[in-house]
Amino acid sequence: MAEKLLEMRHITKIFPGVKALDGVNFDLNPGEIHAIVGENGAGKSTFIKVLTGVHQPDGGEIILDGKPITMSNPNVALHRGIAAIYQHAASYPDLSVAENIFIGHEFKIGPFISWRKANSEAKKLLDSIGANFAPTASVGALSVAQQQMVEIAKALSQNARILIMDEPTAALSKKESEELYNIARGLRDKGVAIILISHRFEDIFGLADRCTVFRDAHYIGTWPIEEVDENKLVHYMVGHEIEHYYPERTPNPGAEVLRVENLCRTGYFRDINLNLRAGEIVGLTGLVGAGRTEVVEAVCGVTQFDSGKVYVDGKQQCFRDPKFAMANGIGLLPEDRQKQGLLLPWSICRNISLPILRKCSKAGIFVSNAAEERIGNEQKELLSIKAPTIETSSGSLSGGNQQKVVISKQLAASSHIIILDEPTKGVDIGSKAAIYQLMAELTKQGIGILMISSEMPEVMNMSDRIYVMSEGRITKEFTDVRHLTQQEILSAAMPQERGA
Amino acid sequence: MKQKKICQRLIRWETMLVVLLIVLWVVFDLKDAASQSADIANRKRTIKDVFNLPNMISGIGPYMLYGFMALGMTLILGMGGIDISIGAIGAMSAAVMAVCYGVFKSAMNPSLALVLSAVCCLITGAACGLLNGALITRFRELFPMIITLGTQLLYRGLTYLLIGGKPIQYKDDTVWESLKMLYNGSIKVEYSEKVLKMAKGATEPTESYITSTMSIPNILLWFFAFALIFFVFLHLTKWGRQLFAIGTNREASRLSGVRVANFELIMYMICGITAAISGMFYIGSASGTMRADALKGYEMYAIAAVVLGGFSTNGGTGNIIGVILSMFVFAVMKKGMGTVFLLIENAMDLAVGVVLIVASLLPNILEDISIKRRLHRQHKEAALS
Repeated sequence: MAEKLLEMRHITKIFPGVKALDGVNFDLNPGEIHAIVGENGAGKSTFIKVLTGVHQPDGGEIILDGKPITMSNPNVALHRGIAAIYQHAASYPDLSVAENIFIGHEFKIGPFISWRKANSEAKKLLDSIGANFAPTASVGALSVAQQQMVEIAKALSQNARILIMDEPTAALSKKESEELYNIARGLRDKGVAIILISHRFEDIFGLADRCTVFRDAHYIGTWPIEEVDENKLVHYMVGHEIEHYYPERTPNPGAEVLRVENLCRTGYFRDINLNLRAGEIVGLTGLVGAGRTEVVEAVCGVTQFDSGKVYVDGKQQCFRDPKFAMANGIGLLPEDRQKQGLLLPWSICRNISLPILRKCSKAGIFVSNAAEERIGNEQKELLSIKAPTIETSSGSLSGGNQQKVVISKQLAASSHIIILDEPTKGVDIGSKAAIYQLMAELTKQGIGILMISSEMPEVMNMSDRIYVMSEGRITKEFTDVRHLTQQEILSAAMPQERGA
Repeated sequence: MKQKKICQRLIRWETMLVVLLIVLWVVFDLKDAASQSADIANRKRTIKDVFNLPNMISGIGPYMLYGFMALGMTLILGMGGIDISIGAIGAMSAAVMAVCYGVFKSAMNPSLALVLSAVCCLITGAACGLLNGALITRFRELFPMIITLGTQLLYRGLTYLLIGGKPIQYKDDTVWESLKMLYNGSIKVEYSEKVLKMAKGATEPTESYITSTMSIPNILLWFFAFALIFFVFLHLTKWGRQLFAIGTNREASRLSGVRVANFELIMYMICGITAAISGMFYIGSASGTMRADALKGYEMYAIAAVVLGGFSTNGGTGNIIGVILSMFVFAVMKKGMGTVFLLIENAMDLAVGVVLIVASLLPNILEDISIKRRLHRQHKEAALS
C-alpha cells in the first residue's frame, strides 16, 4: 500500500468535565472512502473539528504526508487541502453558485472580481462532478442535494485532497443519494480521499472501503468493509456491556393521563394520535426533522396547533403558554437544555425555584430564600445531583447533572406527565445510566413519561410502547417492544421515496 | 460559587461607583480651593466657596429629572430590551396634562382638575408604553431600538400636534403652579457658611460666618421614595426574579412557566408611566411652562445612568443601588464642571460620555482577562494529565 495520506495518533481532546476524545487513532490512504461510525456523542464531531482545526487537540499528533503538523485554525486545514461538507450546507442562499464556490478566493483583476472567469471556472467544476445547473443560479433556489454539490465544488476549487462528508445523505431521497454516491466514487477515482460520517448503513456498506468505529470517545478499531456486517458494526458501536445500563422494569400502566387526537400544524405535522398512561414510558422516535419536537411543543403550548384535540387527565385542553401546561402537570424537558432548559449563570437552586416562585414566596410576592433552599436541597437529594452545593451555578455542571436539574424543576412543580426530548443527548455513559434509573423510579411513582429519542438502543430498551414518526406523521406504533429489531423501527422512520 | 462571585462583583461595582464619586468630589473641591486662593491673590472683594455639599444638594434638581425614567429603564434593560422613546413619552404625557388642565379647569374646581389631568398624564404614559410593548413582543424579529426609535418620533410629533410650537402656561394660576412644589424644596436646613471678604487695601481676607439656608429639593425625596419601591420590586419580589430570568434566557424562562410576552408588555407599560412622572416633574421644574421639546434626549441620560449603574444591556444583571449612585455621579460631575470649571452645560456631556464608555468597558476587560487566565490554567491541567 502506498504511503498514508493522513495519520492521526492518540488524539485526545478534553472539554470541561468531559473527555470528548481519548487516545483516538485514524489513518487515511489516498483515494479511499473511509467511514467513521459511532453513536451520538461517541466523539465523531469532535474528531472532525480537531482534524479541520476548529479545536486544538490536548494530546496526540496529526501527520499529513508523513510530516507532523499542527492545525492552529481552520484556514490552515483548508490550505493543506482538508475540506468539510456539513449536513446543513454552510452556504449563502442569496448568492449565486459561482459566488458561493469562490467566496474567499475570488478571481481578481486588480481590485475587481472577474465574474466571467469565476462563472466559467465554476461551470468546469460543476461539469466535473456531473452537476447540471447554471453557475449563475441562486443557491437558495437549489435543492438540498444540489446545494451539497455546490459545497463539493467549493471544496474542489480549494484543491481539497481530503474531503469530509458529515451525514451527507441525511436529507436526501434514495435517488439523490445514489447521485451523491456516484460523485463520491468519481472523486475517489481521481485520488481524493473521503472521510464519510453517517448513521446510514446503506451509505457505509454502499460506499466505504474501510470503516473506523468510535465509542464513548474511545477508538474501537478499523476494518476493511468486507470484514464487517451490520450486526458486527452495531455490536462495536454499542458495546455489549451497555445492556446493563437499562434498569429492569415491570410496566404497570395506570389511567390514561395524556391523549392527543388528530393533531395538525400545517407544515410541521398532521394527524398525530397518541396516548400516554400513568407509570408508562412511551418512546417517540424517528429521524431528525420528522416533527417529533414540534408535536410535543404544540402539546405543551410552546407553539400552537391548527386543529386536533389534546386531553390531559381526560379533560380537553389547549394551552396558550407553557405556564398553563405546567399548571396542569405537564413538564417538558426541552431538546437543547443549555438554551431552553436552564439559566446557565444561575444557581441550581434558583433554576429549580423559577417555575414555583409563588410557592417559595411569602404572601406569594416576596421570595423567601429559605423556602427556595429547602426545595432545592430536597431535589438535589432526591435526584442525587452531583454538585458541591445548590448554590453552584448550573452552567458548571456536567451534561447529565444539568439534565437532572431540568427534570427536578418539573418534579418540584409536581408534574405527573414528563416529556423528555432527547434526554441523553450529549451526556456521558455514566450519567445516561443515572437518567435511565431516574426514569424507572419516576414511573414507579405513577408518572407518565413520553420520551423523544433518536438513539435506537435507548428507545428499544426503555420504552413500553414506541411511536415512530416520519415526515410529520406517525407511521407506526409498536406495542410489543420485546421482539422488535432496529431494522423494523428504521424502516418505519425512513421517508417514503419521492418519485421513485 | 459562581453565584457568589457575581455577588462579589456587584458589590465591587457599587464600591467602584462610590470611589468614583469620592474622586470626582475631591477633584472638584481641590479645584475650587485653588480658584479661591487665586481670588485671594487677585484681591477680589468676595471669595466664594462654590462647590460644597449644601450647594450641591440645593442644585441637584435638574439632574434628578431623568431619575424616574432611569428607574423605569432598569426594568427594560434588566429584561435585555431597550426603550429610547421615554423622553418623548414624558413630553407627550406632560403635554396631555397641560391641555387637559386647560379644558377641565373651566368646568370644575381647579384642584380636582389638576388631579384629573395628572391621571390623564399617567394614563397617556401607560398607553404609550403599552404600544411600545405590544409592538416589541408582537414583532420579535425587529430590534426594540428601532421600534422605539419609530415611536419616539411618533410621540414627539403628536406632542407638537397637540400644543404646537408655543409653550403652554397658565399665568397666575396658583393651583397649576403648585406643580412647582413637586420639584422645589420645602424642607429648609440651616447651616453656618464661611464667608471670606477682602477689606479695602488688606492682603488677607477676613473670615466671618453667616447662617444660610439650604432647601432640599422635593424631587430628590421623591426619587428616593421611588427608588425604594423599585429596589423592593426588582430584588425582593418574585416578579423581579422573573424579570432577571427573562433577561438571562428568554426561551428557558418561558419554558419554566414565565409568561414572557405578558410580562414584557406590563414592564414596558410601567416604564411609560415613569416617563409620564418625569414629564410631570418637568412642568414643575419649568415653573409651570410646558414646551413641545421638553425632555428631549433625556432617555439617553436615563439609559446612561442605568448602564453606569451596572445593568448589562444584554439583560439579566443589575442593581438599583448602582443606578442611584450613578445618578449622583452624573449630578456631581455636571454640577462640578459647571460651577468649578465654568464649562457650558452641553459641553459637559463629553465627560459623561467618557465616563460611561470607560465604566461599561471595564467589566468586559476584566472578564476577558479572567477567561484568558482560566483557559491558560485548563490547558496546563490538560497537559499534566
